[in-house]
Amino acid sequence: MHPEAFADTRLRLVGLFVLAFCFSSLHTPAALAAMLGITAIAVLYFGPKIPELFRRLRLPGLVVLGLVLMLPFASGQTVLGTIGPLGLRAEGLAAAATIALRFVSIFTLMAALIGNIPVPRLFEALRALGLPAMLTDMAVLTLRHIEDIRTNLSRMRTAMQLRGAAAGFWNGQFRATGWALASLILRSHARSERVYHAMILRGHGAPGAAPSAAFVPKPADWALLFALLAAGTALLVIDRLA
Amino acid sequence: MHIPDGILPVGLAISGWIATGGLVALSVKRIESRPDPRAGIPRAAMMTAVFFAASLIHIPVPPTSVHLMLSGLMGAMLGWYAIPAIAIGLFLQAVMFGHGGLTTLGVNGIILGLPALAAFALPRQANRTGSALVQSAAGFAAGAGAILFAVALFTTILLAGLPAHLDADAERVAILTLAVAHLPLALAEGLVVAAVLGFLRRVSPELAHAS
Repeated sequence: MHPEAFADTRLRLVGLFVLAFCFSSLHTPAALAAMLGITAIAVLYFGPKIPELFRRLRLPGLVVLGLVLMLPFASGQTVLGTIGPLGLRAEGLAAAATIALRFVSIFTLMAALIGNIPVPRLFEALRALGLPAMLTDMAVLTLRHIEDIRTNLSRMRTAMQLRGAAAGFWNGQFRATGWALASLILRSHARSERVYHAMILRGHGAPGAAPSAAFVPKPADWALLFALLAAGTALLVIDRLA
Repeated sequence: MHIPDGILPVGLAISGWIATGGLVALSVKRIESRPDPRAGIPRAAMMTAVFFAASLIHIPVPPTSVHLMLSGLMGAMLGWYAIPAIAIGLFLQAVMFGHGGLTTLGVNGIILGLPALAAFALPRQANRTGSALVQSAAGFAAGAGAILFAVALFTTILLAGLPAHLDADAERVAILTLAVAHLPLALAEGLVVAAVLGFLRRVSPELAHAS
């Protein structure tokens, strides 16, 4: 069955959340190996772009990398060997490996299951799952602003550099940044109010405006949810038994 | 200052979701008790986009550079709207950049949300004094204090949630390293937030503080 056969984002989100929490509860080598297998199947099936995956891994990976490098030397009693003055310890090494595997698997699973779904569609699904209209309105309006604000911020930084703002560090750098940010907030606020009033006129946030009617689960959606829940249950059983 | 997926035990991650869910529900209840709850949504959405894009603002703090978080500014400007705004910002960062995580979204919501709420009260009280110096000091304290409070929460949760125990010396070094590493950010954010609020007080006072 082609991945595009799945239409109901709500069920995909529910499956993703359940499986991600199952992944984060695993400890034993057997369960962690099974988790990697399930992640590999998800990658093969849904086909997220691998270079894009690595690019996105860089920033969040830094925190995990810091822990993975620190834990083997800072945690545990059983010394496996020494590197200079540092002792490599078994318990820390196991904890570091567990963290790294769980992180990469959850990150990859998220990219595979919802990485190709437009973000507004995710909020429609969350609204249909019961998220208050106020939050979804706020989220939709935020999405409209993000690109605008990023562009303006980038322009603002270039203008500040051209004016030589980076040259003076203590005398005025922070004030210049703060004032530029405040100007951006002033400009964006007026636009935000106009856009929101237009959204209200189109019926956003009105009672009964929930887009649940837009989601009609196909048998494939139920099959995917069942498969994700079954995989999560199997992992928990393996973790307990191993 | 976002905890990624896979680090915390599942119990702590679920507790974080429950705590953030409760905080969001309380915020929504407080907002809905206002005469026009929708009035603050455009400002909250605009500030969520600023929060999301804040990682683009790099300020040179020799020998490196830091990027702003702006949770203190969100608290000061949005009040109760800051909690849902931060939750939405964190969700967007997780699904669009992979920054933070899905299972840890609740914990990250607490790490950034509680300092934002604390920052809400300070400039509001200072505003009543009418003194520009006190208002600037309160703006600085809101920005810098929110970072330091968030670092304290981040460090406590991270060390409590690691799947292996650090020995006492390593734990002390980790806490000290994290605190010292974030001092420049706290200083930079305090100065920037004071400048933003000072500018807004002069140009558009109704925007400078949460209603």
